[in-house]
Amino acid sequence: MFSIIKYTWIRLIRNKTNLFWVLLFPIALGGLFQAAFSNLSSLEEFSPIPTAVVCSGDESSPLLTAAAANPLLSVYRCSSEEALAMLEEQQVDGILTIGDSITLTVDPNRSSARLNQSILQVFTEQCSINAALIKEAPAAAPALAADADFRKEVCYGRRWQDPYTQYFYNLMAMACMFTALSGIYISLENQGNLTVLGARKNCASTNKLFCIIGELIAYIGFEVLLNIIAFLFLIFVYGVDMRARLPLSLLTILISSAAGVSMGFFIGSASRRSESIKIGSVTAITLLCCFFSGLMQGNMRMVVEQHAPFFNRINPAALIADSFYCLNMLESLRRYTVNILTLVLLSVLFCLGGFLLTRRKRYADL
Amino acid sequence: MQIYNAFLKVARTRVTSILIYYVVFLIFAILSSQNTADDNRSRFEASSVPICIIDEDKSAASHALTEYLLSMHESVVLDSYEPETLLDNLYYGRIGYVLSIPEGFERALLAGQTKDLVTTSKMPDSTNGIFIDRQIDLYLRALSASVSSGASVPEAVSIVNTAVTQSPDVHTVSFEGQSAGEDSFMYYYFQYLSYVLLVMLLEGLSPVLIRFRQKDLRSRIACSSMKPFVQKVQLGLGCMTYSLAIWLSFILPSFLIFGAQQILSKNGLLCLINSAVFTLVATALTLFIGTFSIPGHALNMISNIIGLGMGFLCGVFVPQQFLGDTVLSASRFLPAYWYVRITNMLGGLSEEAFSIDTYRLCIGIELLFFFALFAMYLASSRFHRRSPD
Repeated sequence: MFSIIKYTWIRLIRNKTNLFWVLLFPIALGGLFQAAFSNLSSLEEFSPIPTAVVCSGDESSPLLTAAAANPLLSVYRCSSEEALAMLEEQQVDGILTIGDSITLTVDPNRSSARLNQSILQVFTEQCSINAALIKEAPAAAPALAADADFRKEVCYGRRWQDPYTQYFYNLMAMACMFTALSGIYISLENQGNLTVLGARKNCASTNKLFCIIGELIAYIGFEVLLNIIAFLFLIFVYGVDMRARLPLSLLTILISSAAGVSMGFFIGSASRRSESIKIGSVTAITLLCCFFSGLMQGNMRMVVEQHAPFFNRINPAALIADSFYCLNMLESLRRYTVNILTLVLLSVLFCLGGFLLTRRKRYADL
Repeated sequence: MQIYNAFLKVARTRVTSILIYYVVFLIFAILSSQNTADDNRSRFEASSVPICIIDEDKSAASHALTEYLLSMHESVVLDSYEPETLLDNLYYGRIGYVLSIPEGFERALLAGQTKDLVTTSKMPDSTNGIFIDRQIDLYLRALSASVSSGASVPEAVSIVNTAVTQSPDVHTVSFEGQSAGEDSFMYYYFQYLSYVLLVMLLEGLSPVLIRFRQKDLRSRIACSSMKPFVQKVQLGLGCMTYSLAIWLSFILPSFLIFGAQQILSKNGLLCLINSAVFTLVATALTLFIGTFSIPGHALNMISNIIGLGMGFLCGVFVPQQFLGDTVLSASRFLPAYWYVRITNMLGGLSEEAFSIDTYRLCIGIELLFFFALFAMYLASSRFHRRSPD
């Protein structure tokens, strides 16, 4: 067994092209993700709304003071012509015209400023409601002016995390799933009609099961090592926020890579078709699983959860990405344990299926 | 046409794996565009935020607050209100805000207690969340002020609601005749097609080309009497046939999905031309990559790095308007950026108004990418022909 593992490792290490691309894949894509998402978090964060304020009446109006003092607004005092020009050039998101009352003017075509326009609308509503209430019930004035903290903010998890980190969870899931491509070679290299090495092994006296187990261990160990290097590169070089419970994250990579390799082994053993068909099948399955776990669209996991929750419980990519999510976001490890146990179960089923499919397939049968 | 025939023969041997890719990518293109179109349709409605309200008080005051918020926002009902479920839905963007009104809310309001009347949760610093925070503050402040002035809860609710309805309307001013996409599904389909075509050609066509670079077949062709130029032309024709077949295989279903009327409309035809030009670029890129003898395993990695990388950097998966200036400056050096810019412009998915000059510019730049990549392919194949095996 030891010599099988040793020589499989030597073969894998000597395949420099393969080694390079397997290692480069998550690192390169991680870099591209990092570049693409660099601006997104800051876009989600709130910054004061650029607002043009036009005074059409008394310069000492309390509404003008209220607008200037509001921390949500970044106020530019100007004339109505200047304000319209600023709105057209998208320098401001809205114009507040303050006289006896307050009015808001916005450009309805600016979809990106829609939310800021709505916040400005809330501000005008607030001014108008306050004025109406003071008119209706003057005794309410002190309470309207008083500071009050009506809301208590809570976080339902361990901490808040940038929602774009989920793309890195999915990237790691994809890297682990792509280890299935290596798994295919275990079956190919044991099929005499497809590879020379397979033909050689079919003639050898070594027990086939023994040989396959040795190769599975070697492949899993090799892929785990590469994925761990890529993972550490993501968190320590790119600074991706996935450091929580690091030992458990490494365990996730170990189990996920094992699930990937065993899935490839199973798909490879399932048919006697050519290498290209097996690679095509694995790539297609991996891409589809990653698509449904949210690699291309972040909300896809919730869409699946709404319409076909069971698929999220058996989709290996969703299980891997969710395991990273649980480690980083949730206090409890219950869901993480269920995910990991499901991945272990899938790995065992894939391995058993692969063993059964390769069993008694001798050179003469192929 | 022996090389052309040989090309088709090799391609035919890979037809099963190509069909697998085709089915997967067609599912991907349809589901992605449908999902994004649905997502955007709800996002464009005057800042209506999906909100989850857990009312444990069930009093007149809590009903009034709930009704006020739901008059503007979309209520999301979940199967469970466990903290884990709420966190999942907040993190993955199904809901933008959680408001929990505890039991005793109305009693506290009547007693003049204003601190921590309700519990809220949102993604930190999210603009959506701050928007709703302000609305809750506005309503509760008005309600508590009315109650403190001596009004009963139903009276206070009535006063506040009257004041809310009397708020001034928002004036709008338009500067350019920009039409927002009424049905953006088709445009998103064409947008995702850039990723699909690229990966489909890289995964499907590259192995065929790499087969022609392998020593046995290359030596057999080299020792024939056929001129190298004719060989290249025939190989190029084979690639064109293959690319045309792939392009048609995604365009024909679009007629079934969106109807001939929409596809053959002006915008539909402009999208078709754009996708055809992009197919040329993807073919040239595939030809270039095909000059290197890359094993199948690595080819998968390369095609995914190129496909997903371009998808994220050029605005296929993330809208271009959300990408930073630096990223956009860099992505201008990638063909998918110009492709996506056209679909965004045609579908009203960005703030850029449609202009035929910009359309021509983008198509022109895509064609320049095609010529540049084709030149790189010729140079690389010449270099590889001279290099020892």
